[in-house]
Order: sequence, then structure tokens, then C-alpha cells
Amino acid sequence: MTAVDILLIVLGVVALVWCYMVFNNLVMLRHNAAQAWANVDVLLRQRHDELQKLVAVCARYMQHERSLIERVATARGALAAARERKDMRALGPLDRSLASDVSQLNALAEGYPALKADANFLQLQRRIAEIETAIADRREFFNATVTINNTQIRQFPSLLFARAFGMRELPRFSAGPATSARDGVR
Amino acid sequence: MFVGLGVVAAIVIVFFWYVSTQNRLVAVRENVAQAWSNIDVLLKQRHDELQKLVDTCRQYMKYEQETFDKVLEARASIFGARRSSDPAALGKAESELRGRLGKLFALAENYPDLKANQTFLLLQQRISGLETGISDRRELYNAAVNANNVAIDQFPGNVVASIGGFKSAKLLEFDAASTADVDIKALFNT
Repeated sequence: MTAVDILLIVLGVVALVWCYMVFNNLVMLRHNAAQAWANVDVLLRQRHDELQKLVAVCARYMQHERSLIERVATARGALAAARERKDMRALGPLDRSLASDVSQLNALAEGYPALKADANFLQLQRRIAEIETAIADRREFFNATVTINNTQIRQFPSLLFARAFGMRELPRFSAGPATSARDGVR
Repeated sequence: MFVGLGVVAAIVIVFFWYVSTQNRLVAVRENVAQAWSNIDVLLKQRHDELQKLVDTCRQYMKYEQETFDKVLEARASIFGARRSSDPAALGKAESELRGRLGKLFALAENYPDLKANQTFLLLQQRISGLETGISDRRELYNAAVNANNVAIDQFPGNVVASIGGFKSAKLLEFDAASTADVDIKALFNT
């Protein structure tokens, strides 16, 4: 074996190892992009499932709170009506004053139970924001994996390999004109 | 002799390489199955836990409603007693009643604080926690599938996989209906 032979063997081994590494890297990048895409769907699914439940909880609580306040209002109305019906002439001046005292007191002290639904709505809003942010994060991550993949495929020398093995560039996320134009706030 | 040794060494190396690659493929395939099962664990938890939490909320709502009704009834009966008592008796107790009335109304107008929203809030938080947990498990599953598929498609895994019949796993896919965006406005109106 001459020195040239050894050099050729070494070069061949290096080339093989290089091919091995480039090929494996390209395979990994393509799969990572697919994974990132699937993870976007995971979060979309979460949004679909979670927000429906949260809205239902809020709606149920609102109903509960409304019915309680209505009970208070109805009961108070009945009280006031009864007081109105009271025959003022039949009662002496003493009671007249008492009646007016009572209505004053009542007007002063009339307080309804505090509404609490805002906390539930705040929590709902917080979760909407968090989920949408998570979806956006997953989409950006997907775009990042596509960029790495496409860069490798377009760059020399891995581009030779990509062509030989039919590895293609991947499209990035696109919201479409209808979605990106709509700001969602009306 | 020298060549023979080299061939034997090469065969041994290739054999160990093959075995270790195959073992790796087995391991990643098992991980896929584990990750899939872990999604089910969380789905099961969601099913069990949310039912209980909703029942608890319902129970508390009922309690709050009954308490409110009792407060309202009690108040109405106080008023009724005052109205039915005859003027003479009222006159006697007038000063005392006045003082008491003032206190009574001032005190009684403090309605019990609504607290059911706390249980609802906890329910909401648990819904979010569980759904996030499910998503995490699903992403872990996707990661396991990815590790499996990369191992199968990379060299030398692709050779071993085609000999040993290792198959690529499927990433999670949902139909369009189950990933559709929710219309909050419509949901509140239903």
C-alpha cells in the first residue's frame, strides 16, 4: 500500500462519515418539522376542549348569581308593596312615623350581595390569552424548524445530498388573508 | 491470517452495531407505547375529576340558594310580625322597637356574601390544569413518535428497521372539527 492508497482510503472513510452525518441530520430536521406541526394541533385541540368547558362554567355561575339577586329583588319588592298597602289613616300618627322611619332605614341600608362573576370571567380571559399565546409559540417553533430544514436543504454541500434523496423544502405557517386581516375585536 | 482477523473483527463490529441499533429501536418503540398510554391516564383523570368537581359545585350552589331563601324568609316574617301587631302594643314598645328596628335592618341588610364563585373558580382552574396536562402528554407522545421515526429513518436504523420490521409511528392527528376555534359569543348564547 502506497501513501496515496492510504490517503484515498482515509478520504473515502471521511466522505462516508460525512454522508452518514448529513443524511441523518436531514432526516432528523424533516421529522422535527412534522413534530412541530403536530404540536400546533395539540394546542388547537386544547383550545377547542378547554374554552368550551370554561365558558360553560362561567355561564352556569352567571345563572346562579342572577337567580339569587333576582330573589333578593323580588322579596324586597314584595315587602315594599305590603308597606304601601298599609292604610295610613287607620294607623295613628305614631305608626305613620314608624313606617316612614322604616322606609328610610331600608333605603339607606339597602345593599345587594356583591357580584362575584367577574373573577370567573377574568380567569376565562386569562386562559384564553394563555392558550392563544401557547398556540402562537408552537407556530413560531414550527416555522423555526422549517427554516432550519430549508436552510440545510438549500445550502452547499448538503444540498447535493438533499437532491439525491428527494428531500424537499417545507412550507411555513400561513394564516391566510381572511384570518390575518380580521382583528377579532368588534 | 491478518486479513482473516480483519474480517472477523469487522463481523463482530457489525454484529454489535446491529444489535445495539436494534435495541435502540425496541426502546423507542416502547416509549411510544408508554407515551400513548399516558395520554389515556390523563383523559381518565379528566373524566373522573371533572365529574366530581361539577357535582361539588352543584351541591354548593344548592346550599347557597337555600341559605339565601332562608334569609329572605326570615326577613319577610319579621316584617309580617311588625305589621300584624296592634297599634296599642306597638305604641307601648315604640321606643324599644325603634331602636331595635334600626339595628335589625342595618344588620340584616348585610346579605351573606356569595361564595359559590370560589368553587366555580377552582373548577375552572382544574379544567385548565387537566387540559394542559393532557396537552403535555400529547406533546410527549409526539416527541416519542419523533424519536422512533428518526431512529428508523436514520442510518443505520433504516437498515435494521427494514430487516427487523420496525415501523414508523404516527404523530397525533385530529379531525378539523375537534381543533376548530371556539366561538365564545355563540357559546354564551346557547
